[in-house]
Amino acid sequence: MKVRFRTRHGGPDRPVSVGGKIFLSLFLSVFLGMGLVFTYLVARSAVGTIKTYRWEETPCRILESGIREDSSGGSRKFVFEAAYEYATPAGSRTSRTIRLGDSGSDDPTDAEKLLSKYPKGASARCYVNPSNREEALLERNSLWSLLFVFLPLIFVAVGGGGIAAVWWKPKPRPGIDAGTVVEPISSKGKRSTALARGCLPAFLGLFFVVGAAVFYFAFFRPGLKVFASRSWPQVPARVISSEVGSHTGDDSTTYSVDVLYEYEFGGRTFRSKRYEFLGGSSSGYDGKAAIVARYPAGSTTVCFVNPEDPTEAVLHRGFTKTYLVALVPILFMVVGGGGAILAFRSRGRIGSAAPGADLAAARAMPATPAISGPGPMKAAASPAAKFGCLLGVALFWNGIVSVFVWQVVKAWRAGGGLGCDALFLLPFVAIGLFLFGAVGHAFLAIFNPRPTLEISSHAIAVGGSANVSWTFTGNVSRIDTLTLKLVGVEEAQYRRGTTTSTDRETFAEITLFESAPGMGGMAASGTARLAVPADTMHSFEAPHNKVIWKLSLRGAIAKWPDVSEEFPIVVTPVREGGGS
Amino acid sequence: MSEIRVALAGGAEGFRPGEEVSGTVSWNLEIPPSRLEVRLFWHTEGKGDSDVQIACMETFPDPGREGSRSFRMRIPDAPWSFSGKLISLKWAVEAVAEPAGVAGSAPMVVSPTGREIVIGKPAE
Repeated sequence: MKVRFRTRHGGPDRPVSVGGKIFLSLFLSVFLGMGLVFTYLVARSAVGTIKTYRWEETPCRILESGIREDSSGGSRKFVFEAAYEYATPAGSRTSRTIRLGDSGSDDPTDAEKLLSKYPKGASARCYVNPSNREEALLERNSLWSLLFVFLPLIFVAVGGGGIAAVWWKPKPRPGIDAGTVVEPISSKGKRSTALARGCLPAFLGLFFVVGAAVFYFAFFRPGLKVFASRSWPQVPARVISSEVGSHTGDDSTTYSVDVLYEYEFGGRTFRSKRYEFLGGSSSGYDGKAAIVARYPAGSTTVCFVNPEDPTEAVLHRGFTKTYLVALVPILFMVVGGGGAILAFRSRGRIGSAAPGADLAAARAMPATPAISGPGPMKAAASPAAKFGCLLGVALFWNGIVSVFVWQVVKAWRAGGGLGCDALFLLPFVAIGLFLFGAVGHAFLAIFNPRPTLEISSHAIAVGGSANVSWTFTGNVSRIDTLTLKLVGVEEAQYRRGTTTSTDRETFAEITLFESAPGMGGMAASGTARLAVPADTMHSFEAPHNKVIWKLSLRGAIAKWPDVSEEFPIVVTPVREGGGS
Repeated sequence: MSEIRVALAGGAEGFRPGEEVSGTVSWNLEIPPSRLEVRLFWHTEGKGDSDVQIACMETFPDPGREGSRSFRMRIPDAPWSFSGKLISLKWAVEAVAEPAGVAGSAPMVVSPTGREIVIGKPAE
């Protein structure tokens, strides 16, 4: 009998030197410091907002109101201004404060909305500070703004957590020689449970939520407006100013269509800066300049006005190419949502550590087929699905590469040389061309004869057997040789640095049927006996390691993509004596 | 020096799926643990990242600084112990003193023959 007592030293990573730790700490302290400062500022503002929700709601009267244009900061801002009178026990008071920290916006819509809501002479409600009745607000800031507190906390977590991780040393555990750490192998099962059950689905779910939120605001809501505006009346408008807005970021400049126009509706004049429902700015100057050129300052045009809220107007109410960019968050939704579902579904398979554990989960078997008896087999991927996947990958890859290629071509047409940029792009273009070649190959394979396989039992035990029959549809006479094999594959997934790789090794390849050369066309249908060896391993599926069994059907066709389809099967464990 | 020993009944090492595995765990620790867990589990070794699954566990609360207890657990139907070119799957009974993490274990083989199944070339 073997009895083991294990100790493991330190861990595989080399310790960081003190100098390195100090450098890392200084670097991370920038994150921590910035995070703390911004957290303080945002939290102070948030506390101020929360306090106003305890202020007394009081009737008031608007004495005067209007919109002031402020160009003092270099850009034009529209500030709603109002004076309102309210009663206090010490007599009436007048205030001019609209909101906490409100300094106007470069879009007049918000100011126009407030002006519509608070016209001169109107009765309204204001909020009075019970501790100081000289202080009042016409509008309280939205509580949604409190969510911004979490933004700088990310920097605090990265900075503070990073510094703690740099300097943290695990305490020598009691009962163990100093400097050594015991880590039982089975404890990894508990950790993976926590990861699979909680952290991973939550992390991926966050991707989905962020993607969905961005999709909603960037595409869905503007898209709904596009349809809603079909019934908005067309109204004459006068262009007040027209220019391409320039927004300089850290490493690039983006541009926007800044056309300010005014229009009359319901006897009132409104101003708006909305060109289309999709706001924001993007790269590409020429397109915006062309739009701006269509709306010179002083010219008259038409806009479309929301009759239910005349402060809302738009010059162009259709979809534009920019909306395609706003579809990008769908990728986040697919990756995040799909990943979260997969992680959630796999949580029970590995890592259960409860007393009297879930033995079914511990078996680490792949999902057993819905039918255990005879029936048709499902191919791992149909030729059409392979073509669709390859086409998607090729379009995605070449779509990105084409943006860079276009920039190089534009520079070349403008008189610049091809230079290093073109050289750098060559391998990426080559991969793109290879992908298109693969798409063409997959497309031709769609027209191959299609096999249908039936098996006498979908769950085959180790040492057991089953009958497999096949029939082809399509022009089967094109097949030169046909082979049907039972294949067993080990699949191991591992991480090296940031790269995840998967290795596969075929450990069993048993030919069930093989036609003579040139006789494949005669095998339009047939039957073969499938026997799983008695001394082999059953199907096994864990997060990083798998034993996969499948039927591989190959039909060689001269000067054409071969028929190549795989049909997964589940080989079940069986106890000595026959029961599984 | 802290020590935990796991001894399988009758010195057995090869087991059939569905059988019971029993034995004794004895410990002599410098600091008394809050609990002692006896875990029947499998794990993978080889090229892929390791997968670990605890199939069954018995917990002994406040076991004291030293002592001995017997355990009995049922082995699930699968997975079986095997070795391939990329993957090896191994079973063991492991006793862990928590929270210190002092451990001792006894390896075992689970398969219909009681011997490890070899597929392809053994993992290096």
